Parts: sequence; structure tokens; C-alpha cells
Amino acid sequence: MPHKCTKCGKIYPDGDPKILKGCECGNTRFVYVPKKKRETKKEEFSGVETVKIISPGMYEINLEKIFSRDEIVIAIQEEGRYAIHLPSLIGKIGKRDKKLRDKKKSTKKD
Amino acid sequence: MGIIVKIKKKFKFLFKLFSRKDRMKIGIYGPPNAGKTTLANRILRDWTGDVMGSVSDVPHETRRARLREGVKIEVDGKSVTIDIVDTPGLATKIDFHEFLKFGLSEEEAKRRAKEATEGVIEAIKWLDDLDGVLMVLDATEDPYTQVNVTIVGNIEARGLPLLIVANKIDLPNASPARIKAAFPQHPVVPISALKGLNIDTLYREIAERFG
Repeated sequence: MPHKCTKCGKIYPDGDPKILKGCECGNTRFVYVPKKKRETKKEEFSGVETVKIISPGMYEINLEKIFSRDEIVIAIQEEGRYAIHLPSLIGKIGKRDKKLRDKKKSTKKD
Repeated sequence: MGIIVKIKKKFKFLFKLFSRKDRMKIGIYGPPNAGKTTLANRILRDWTGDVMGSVSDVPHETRRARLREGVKIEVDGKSVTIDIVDTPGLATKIDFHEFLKFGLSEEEAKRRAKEATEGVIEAIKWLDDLDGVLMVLDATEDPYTQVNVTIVGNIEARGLPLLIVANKIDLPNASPARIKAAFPQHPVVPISALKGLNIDTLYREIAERFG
């Protein structure tokens, strides 16, 4: 296992003779660096996109975003290019219009 | 106006109880290849003599949601009529290379990947119109996945009744207990949709929860 200097943090590979002599900083204390923990891969979505087209036929889908948003934003390969899925956006506008209409109706009644 | 909304929120469960529909619309959800369409076919074959759609070993065989209305289930003298929505498998990554292994051409595989991605969106949009969810999980697979946790969490947030189906118990390495341990807050019914194992228990649970 690699060793890490407790003072300066320099990492020496397993079996490095320098560990016996001490670190460059003069410190003689080291800690084992445990093997790299298996990282749970988080979704790599950082922006607004709900679907990312990595290349034709390869897609990454952000389920959380689709669950929480009405419109679908598709990120296309190159940085900064996005497409908005129109039917989902129209559906959202339709819903909003319906809500407004309903609200108007209820205020008229009042 | 505000007071009414507050009261509604506070007594949501009572409103739900009294405004229960005669016919519940139930969605079948889960990751790809968990056996959603096999289960939908089993339910329809048992109660209507019909089928919902084709099944396949190639993931994402169902890429459009399918609705079957008025399925009458009778258990212990109790009858419940439900509308069933069979949905495409939910996934966070869809890669056409996966389909090439099953002998699909590159063009077919890419089209399948595109349709499957659209299917995921369609499946999630359907949740707005549902009254309950049957979540189908493959009992031979690890249930602690991001997809499963996200789906269950969202269904809980929407307050939809959820019944988890631990499918494929006919396979030797199936572990429905692992699914129960992962989601202890929900009822889990172990079944084999393909072989029809324990299917009566599932019908009883459906009648109980969605009736």
C-alpha cells in the first residue's frame, strides 16, 4: 500500500526506500493510503439538460430532472448546444393556459 | 380560498378516500428486462384472454407505453376493474452497443436506443395520469440501483399507492428478500410472471391496494 507523509501529504509508492529514510520535508511519520474506494458514479449532469446525446445511439438520461420538470432539454454532443423537446414544452404551456383559464372562470363565478 | 387549500392539504388522505375512482389506472414500471410486459401479458391472459405486447431478451423491447382499459380482476368474491399501462423500461444510460450483442445491425441498434430514450420520457410523463404503480424488479438483480431508488422516491413523493413485484423467482439465484430489505416501507410480492408462480397472491394484493 502507498504511504502518505502526515506532514506534507506527499505520497510514496509501496516499497519505496525513501519511506525508511523519512520524507523530503524531514517528517518520519507516514500513514497507509487505502486502495482507492470504489466511487459510486453520480450522474454527470451539471446544467439544465434532461437528456444528453453522447454520440448517435448513446444517451444519458437524468431521471430526476424528467421527474421534476415538465420540459425536456436535450444536450447535443458539442458543448453548449441544446434542443428543447417542443411537445413537452407545448404540453407545459397548455397546462399553464388551462390553469389560467380555470382561474379566470373561478374568479368570474365569484 | 387559501383556507380551503390548507384544509384540503391537511385532510388529503380523507379527500382521497372519498374521491376514489371506480376504476384505477395502474402503471407497470421498472428497469429494462425486469419482466414488465411479461407481467402485463400474464394479467391480461388470465383475465381477458388477450396479450399486451411482445417480449424479448433484448433490453428495451417495449419502447412505447401501452394502455389496456377495463381489466376485471376477481379475487375471493371481490372484484376490481383496472386500466393497465405497460411502460418502457426506465434507465439512466442507453447505449446501442448493448443491442449489437443480440445480433441487431448498427442502424437498428441506434434506432432502438433513440426510441428507448423517448420511451423513458414517455413512461415518466404517464405518472401524472396514474392512480397507482406496480413496480416490477428482477429478483436476481441488485435492487439498490439509482434507477430503482429514484423511481420509488418519486412515486412516494407523488403519494401514489405502490406495490413492488419481485419477479423471476423461478430462477435459482432469485432473492426477493433482498428487494424487501431495500424497500421495507412497501409491500413486496414475489412472483414469476413467466411461470405464473404466486400470481394469485399478487391479484389479491392488487385487489387490496387498488380496489
